[in-house]
Amino acid sequence: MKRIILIISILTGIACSLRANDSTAVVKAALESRNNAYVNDPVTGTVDEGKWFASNDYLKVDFYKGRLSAGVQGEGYFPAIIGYPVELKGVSLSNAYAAWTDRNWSFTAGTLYEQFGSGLLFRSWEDRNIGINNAVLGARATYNLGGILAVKGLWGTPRYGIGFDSGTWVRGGDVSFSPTAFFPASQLTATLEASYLNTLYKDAAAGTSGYSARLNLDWSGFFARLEYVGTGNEHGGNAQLAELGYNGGSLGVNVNLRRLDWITAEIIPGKSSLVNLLNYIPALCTQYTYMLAGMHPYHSMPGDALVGGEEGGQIDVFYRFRRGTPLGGKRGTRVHMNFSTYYSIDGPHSYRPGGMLMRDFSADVEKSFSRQLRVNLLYSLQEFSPSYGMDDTRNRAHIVVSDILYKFTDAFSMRAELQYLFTKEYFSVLPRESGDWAAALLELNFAPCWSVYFADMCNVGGTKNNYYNTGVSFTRAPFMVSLSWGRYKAGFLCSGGVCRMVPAYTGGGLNVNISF
Amino acid sequence: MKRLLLVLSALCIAAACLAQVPGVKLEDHKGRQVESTKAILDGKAPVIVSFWRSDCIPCIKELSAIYDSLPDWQEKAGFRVVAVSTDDSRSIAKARSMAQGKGWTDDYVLLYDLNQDFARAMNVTLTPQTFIFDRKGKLVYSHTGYTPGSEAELLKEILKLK
Repeated sequence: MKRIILIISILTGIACSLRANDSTAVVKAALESRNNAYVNDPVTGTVDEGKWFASNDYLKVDFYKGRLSAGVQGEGYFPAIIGYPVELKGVSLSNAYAAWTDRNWSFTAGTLYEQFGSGLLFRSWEDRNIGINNAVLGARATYNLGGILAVKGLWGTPRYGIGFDSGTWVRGGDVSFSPTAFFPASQLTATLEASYLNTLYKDAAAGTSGYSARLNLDWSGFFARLEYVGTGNEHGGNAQLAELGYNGGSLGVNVNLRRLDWITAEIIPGKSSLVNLLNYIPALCTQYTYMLAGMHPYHSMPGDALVGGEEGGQIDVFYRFRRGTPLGGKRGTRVHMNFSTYYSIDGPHSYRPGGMLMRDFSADVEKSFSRQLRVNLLYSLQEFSPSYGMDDTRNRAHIVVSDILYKFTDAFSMRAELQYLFTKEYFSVLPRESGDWAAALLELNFAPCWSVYFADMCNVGGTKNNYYNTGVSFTRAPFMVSLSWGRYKAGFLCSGGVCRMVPAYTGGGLNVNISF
Repeated sequence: MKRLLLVLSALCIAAACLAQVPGVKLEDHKGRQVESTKAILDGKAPVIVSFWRSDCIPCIKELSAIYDSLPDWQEKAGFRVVAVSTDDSRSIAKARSMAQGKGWTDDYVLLYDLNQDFARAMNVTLTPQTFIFDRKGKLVYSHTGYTPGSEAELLKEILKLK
């Protein structure tokens, strides 16, 4: 079946290209190679026999001509970098597609990516940082009627690992209706949306049918997006999501409220793997990139035998003090605050909150004092429950970060980060390293091509272990090359709110990106 | 190996000669659907297109640096700046609020690429990634990553197009 669809895709592409002679052709190609070498280290452990080197490689080529597009992607894992899902191995021509996009409709055959609503019901996407690619091999058609009505439907089999042999098939549709489009002068925009997804598992007599209903409202900077999802699985999984806010002037406010109740949708039922995802259930809280603030990222609890689900939310406030005001000064000041908290649900299908899972308050300020000096300051108070809300034990940390940039010339600058984490408990899970942490980073930039950095984080209140790393990067179109060496602690690496566990290691990395 | 290199080289040359803006559906700052080619190219002035994410600190620093430099730059050359957010449904509302709170709505055309269709079409695998297209839509410059000061390079490239 896979071969048949691939052949159909390619033939469709060739057939369409013969007709699409009304515009310039565009070819785009990208090669990405991520390579790691590992060495023995008393702190991070011994490298397994024959596993001193790993490489993830991707080559993608796309062709565009008028309304036609077509492309292929090849992947190779020699073997996969540690921490990536074990299903990623070998070499594969993983993606091939051809698509025709007209003014109001489109048709895609081959591998495709799609999302219904927020993705709680269904999402197929690629994220190479964490090793997710659940592209659907099949067909999709969309139709759009003047901004009033949009309809799409798809059918296919999702990718699992590097192949399409899971035996699971999905078919679904999504419809969006905007009655306010009849009144172009109206300040109010209202959209009603609904989705349906049927998943047929290998050897199952009948499919599982899930649905999503949504209402989107926008009025003079205020917005509200409401969604209800029912998965149709044997647990009666469901989820509710509300996004409310206001964007206007110098102010942006955004509130997310969400409840998850056995919402996981898997490609192969019961298989525990990061690649085994048919929907998107990210953590809705701040995802930090500073070393210490991001030491213990929260990942969502979609519902399982241990924690039946979660409910909670977050609020973000962004504000800009304009130039010339007392707090804005000559160059303006930007501030941001976030508060996030999540609780387990108190029993099957309950709407009452159970134990607290996490809480985070953060505030950050960005200020340019002159053309040379720019400062970012961050404070975060983080709490998490090591028992996943089963008892009242909470680990709490106060984290402060200063990020200072000084430009000596237009091309030469220095950036320094100083960070400290105060805690009486442990915030490093693997291994459990209790007490305070300190971290520093020094980066020298020679714009626009070169950057060199040195960084270290140390468990000053406990083991005194140092996790150091240094690296250099060169970027000049179409190349970007980075080389690094260091000792990395175990932890969760998160991208887009989805996390994968990365074991501790010591070694070097060479990343090469070539993009045209 | 030689054959592979030959094929890659041929692809690179072809790509470099033909690169333009692929047509993909995106959302604007108010959530309305727009077509990438029409939203990015106006046929009158060159355009800087920057791909960013709300959790990417170098992306935010680059866009803030361009924003701070804009009043001076606009005196030297006419051009537009388009910021394409690759935030997904998790953080798209946050990205809109962030853009508003940072003042980017004043000077940037803001587009949102919810399922990264446009990023894939442009082969953006890392952010920030910045492109400059001339007024006819020909790609004349691209850069991945941000090092403080590299924004000055953008103005140099824009001035070459005058």
